[in-house]
Amino acid sequence: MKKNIIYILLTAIILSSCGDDLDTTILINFSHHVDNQAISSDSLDHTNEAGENYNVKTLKYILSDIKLLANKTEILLKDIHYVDINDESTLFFQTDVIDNGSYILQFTFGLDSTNNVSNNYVNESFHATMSWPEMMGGGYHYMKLEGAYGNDSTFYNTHTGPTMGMNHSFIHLNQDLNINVDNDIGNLEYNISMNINNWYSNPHTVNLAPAIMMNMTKQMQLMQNGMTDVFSIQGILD
Amino acid sequence: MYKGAIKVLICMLLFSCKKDLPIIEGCTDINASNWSYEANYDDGSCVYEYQATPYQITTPYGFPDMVIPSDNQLTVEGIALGKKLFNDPILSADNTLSCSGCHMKNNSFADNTKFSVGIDNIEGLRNASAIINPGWNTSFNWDGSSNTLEEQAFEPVTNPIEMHDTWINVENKLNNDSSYLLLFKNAFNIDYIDSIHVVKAIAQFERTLISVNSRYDKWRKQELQLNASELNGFALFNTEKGDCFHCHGTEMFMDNTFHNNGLDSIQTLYLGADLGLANVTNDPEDIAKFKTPTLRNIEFTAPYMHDGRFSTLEEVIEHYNSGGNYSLTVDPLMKNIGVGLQLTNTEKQDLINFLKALSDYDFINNNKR
Repeated sequence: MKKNIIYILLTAIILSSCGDDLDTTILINFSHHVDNQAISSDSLDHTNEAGENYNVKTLKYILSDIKLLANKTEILLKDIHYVDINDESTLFFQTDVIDNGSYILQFTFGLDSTNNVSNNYVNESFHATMSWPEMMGGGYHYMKLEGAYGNDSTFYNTHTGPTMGMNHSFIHLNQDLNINVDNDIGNLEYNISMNINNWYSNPHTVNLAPAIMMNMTKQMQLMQNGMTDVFSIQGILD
Repeated sequence: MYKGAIKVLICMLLFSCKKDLPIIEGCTDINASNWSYEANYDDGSCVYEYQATPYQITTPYGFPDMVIPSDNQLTVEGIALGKKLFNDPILSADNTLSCSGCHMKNNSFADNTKFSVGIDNIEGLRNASAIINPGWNTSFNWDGSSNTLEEQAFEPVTNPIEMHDTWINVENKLNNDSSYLLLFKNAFNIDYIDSIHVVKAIAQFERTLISVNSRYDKWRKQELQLNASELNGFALFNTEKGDCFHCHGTEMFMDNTFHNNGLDSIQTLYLGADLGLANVTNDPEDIAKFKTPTLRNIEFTAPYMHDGRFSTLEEVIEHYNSGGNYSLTVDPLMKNIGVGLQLTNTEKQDLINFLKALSDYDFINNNKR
């Protein structure tokens, strides 16, 4: 009898030592498109709801407070992430190890007014390129979306940010997609996707324009369009 | 009886634990070059390797922390040596041209001629960049061909249209100079002078060329008031009316990146105009892009642009006011090509007056530099 117990215990120890859980991390990618088209930076291949033909030469933006939410839990994935479509190193980040659970993803587009203060991020790579003059409220641009429209030499600058200190950042909460972290399954990969055309439609039809940083109406409209359907999140299967 | 035995045992245990250590004399300081791990009594014999005096940069308001290479930390002796080298024509083949020959202090370490002239009387192809707050630049030269100040300092010495020397020759000259041998010993603790330590010293000096004491800076610190014209210029600068801030924003007045600001048309680029960043990256998307210079001390650094094509600030403002030329890589920030900002004459003058408020006279007059 005593011998049997020892055998059982030994077997249990050996079996449990073979089944080490994997540490699960999540790879978050950023992708960008215009409806069903890849971004065109040369010819005016894209058409917005207002019927304007345009291209995309510059797209830089800041996401902040990127986190996973679960019942009574939230896990901060990254405080701030800066995306520049012309810099591949900004088009992804890897999270730390995440505990098992079912989560939904949330982030803030831009920086909320508490954090969006001039010189608050002097050591971040975006400090010089994204700063928003104090004259117009101070802090940092949320987004710089630029290109040509109408003809090759007329440019639009869709720059969003804290016009006169007004907070036009918004929270994107993706309730449609559960991110299931299971250490038995292993690492996960998700894609945060931006449909650029949706900045200019739903609910507001927004025309392209060269200078909108002080245009409170356009900033509000872009914020509301952004909240509606600019961003989506997809899981990527191996 | 039993209790007595226990007491004896305890005493034996206590005494057996304590063993008198022999005194071993030597150097007990781990930082000394002759530190002895056996020594337990410092006999005052510690010998320390020579270390130059550390120098601390004070980060100006609104600037990032300066990134200094770990193998070239600033020292008082290194900076002084760099200054001497910067001003010494010994770096050129015929001992006639120093770094300061093209980067003149009175011009905020820029050249007041369109193109600098090398020792063989050959003109360069670009206007010599101003050296101001270079410790916060992430690339150097108009086309970004150098990534560090050390790397940048290597190039002019051997450039055939600049100093036209060889590094072997420069090293020989310096090693035959007893004063330099001593200065390099003091700065880097080396007995043989090589090119690596020459550029390290120059880079150290350049990192101290910090200018943040203009009337604008004093206004920011509420030490003085800018006049109405300067303030209007500031407002134009920092709104989309003048739209200078997108490339020349923050307290650094530059964005550490590259733009095509519409200087050349497709035709002139086709006919052989300078391709800028594309010469380095070989990427057609980078054609005619040049590094954004800081606008601090812009009053001192004429002529302007990579090729010194504009002699005055008025000409620069007029370029933006009329909108520049279209080419495939022109920056979308040049919103209306051929149309421009359409500022009034008064607004243009206000903008220039603000730009002149960025002049730091202390920077060019201070003998420490």
